Amino acid sequence: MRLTPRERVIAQIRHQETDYLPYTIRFRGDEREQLDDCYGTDVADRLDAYYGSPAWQALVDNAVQRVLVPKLMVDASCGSFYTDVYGSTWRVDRRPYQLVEPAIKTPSLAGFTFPELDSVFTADWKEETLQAIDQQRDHFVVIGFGFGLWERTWTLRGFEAALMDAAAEPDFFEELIERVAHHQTGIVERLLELPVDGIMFSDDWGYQRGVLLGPERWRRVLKPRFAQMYALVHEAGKYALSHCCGSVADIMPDIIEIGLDVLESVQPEAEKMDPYELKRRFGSQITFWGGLGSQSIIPFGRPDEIRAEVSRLCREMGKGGGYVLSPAKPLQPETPTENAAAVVESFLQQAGVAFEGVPGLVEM
Amino acid sequence: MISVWGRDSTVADVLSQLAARLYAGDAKAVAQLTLAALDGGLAPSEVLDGGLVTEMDRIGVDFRNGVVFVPEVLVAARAMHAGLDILRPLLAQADVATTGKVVLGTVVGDLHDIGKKLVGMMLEGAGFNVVDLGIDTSPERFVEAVKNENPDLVGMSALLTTTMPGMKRTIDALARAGVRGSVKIMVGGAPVTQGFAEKIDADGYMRRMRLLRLS
Repeated sequence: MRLTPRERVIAQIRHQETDYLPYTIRFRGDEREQLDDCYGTDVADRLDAYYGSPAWQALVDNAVQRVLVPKLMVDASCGSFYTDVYGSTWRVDRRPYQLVEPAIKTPSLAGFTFPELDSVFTADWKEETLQAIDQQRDHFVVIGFGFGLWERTWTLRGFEAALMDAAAEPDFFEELIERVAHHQTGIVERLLELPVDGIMFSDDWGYQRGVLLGPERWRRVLKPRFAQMYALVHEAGKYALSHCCGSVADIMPDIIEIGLDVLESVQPEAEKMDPYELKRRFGSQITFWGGLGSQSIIPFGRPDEIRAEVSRLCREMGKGGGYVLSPAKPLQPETPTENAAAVVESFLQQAGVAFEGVPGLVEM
Repeated sequence: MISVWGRDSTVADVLSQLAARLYAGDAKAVAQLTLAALDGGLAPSEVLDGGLVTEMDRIGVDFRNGVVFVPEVLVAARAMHAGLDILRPLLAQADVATTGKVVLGTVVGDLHDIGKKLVGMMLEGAGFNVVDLGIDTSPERFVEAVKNENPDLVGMSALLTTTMPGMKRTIDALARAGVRGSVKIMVGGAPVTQGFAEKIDADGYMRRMRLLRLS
């Protein structure tokens, strides 16, 4: 019997091989048209022209579908500035949107209060979210709340200020982390009431060269709190997934120890994040989702190199299960159209989807 | 002998205390020790080279080797600035030559800041005079800064593959303005590679921080 996309993802998380790999491809999509002058035109729009119609879009069937909590996000859809529900103000007319005025300006919690969860998780929100989830039947549905524990901490305080707090004001830093963890635990509890397959955490612990706060500080400050949150997710019978950019190879054993089921992004260009090496060392204990290089092969490689790399990812990362095929990041506007087409076509090809009568698909 | 916090200390002691407090990121103590060293008769350049620069170099090496991390570098740089702010006017008065002058900026369309700032701090620690143009810096602003500041080096940062072409556009703009030959150009940022640097005719790229001296 043919698996549904949802069943395919679950089988992979259980480290069972599937008929083909579940996959996701995200297109920029969320950018504003008026920014095109600055960043180039949307890849999906160019593929429509390349294929002669948007029909190709219906063939792309992302196995994992994300539902978000918009009120907790930065709304970068219009204007130059946006103040989030926590009171931090962002510049949103360029990328990445930049925190210009943090809610907490000195290393003190005096006068700061977290937003009431009831004002975020309203009855309307719940109804809309249930509808959105219902539309994704047969897919693996995750719900995310944007900035995770470390990210919410720095977005309250400013990036540099939070990093300096970690070294110079450790008591305040840990108190703030503890308060954010308490607040976000409340968020996770609400999300776990929904009929989703998993919670999509998102916390960039890594930068290009390593763990931003350093592995030891990560272990002391973040690890126990994530262990608690992941445990809550598992108690509710759901999966814990996390987006995380950059290099986290140094803390992979810890991430596995606290029970993360799926690590998303897996940027191959980051230090020690070669997906094949990660697979060899940790592949039996966690599921990787991503791994196709968004800083290298997708924008700067050749279409035939992309096809070859996708084949290798399928063959080696898919061995024994534990893999969801994906570019490490959404396809960015600088991606040459032929390269974007190579990603789409090779992903569909491994899924056995016929892509007939479309130019550029001679080998299928 | 130099009196520091009511105790007599040798020059070597003061400089080693200065270094230790800088490494620990204690800005207040670094300022006090800098003043004490000057009061004790040390030349500003001796405090700079013997205390601040050497220790920032050490932080740089330890950062590269994974002994300390971004938070420690930031607080050490803040402490270095506490000393540098005292020394800078004195160094200018004494007409002490800096290692060199560098103009830094994140390229147009890109709002990433911290990596470029860290590079600036390290260059300052190595005795460079740093002019930071900030983020979202247009090619025109780089050209203007090169004309006005007459730097030895231009450093450009991009953290998005989307904004990396801004580096090439800036180099082209410098060439059109006739000032490309007067500066060396360094590029950096997460997605930047040696191959990309060569392709756009930049002069330098470093994957990791290295000690830098103008030859």
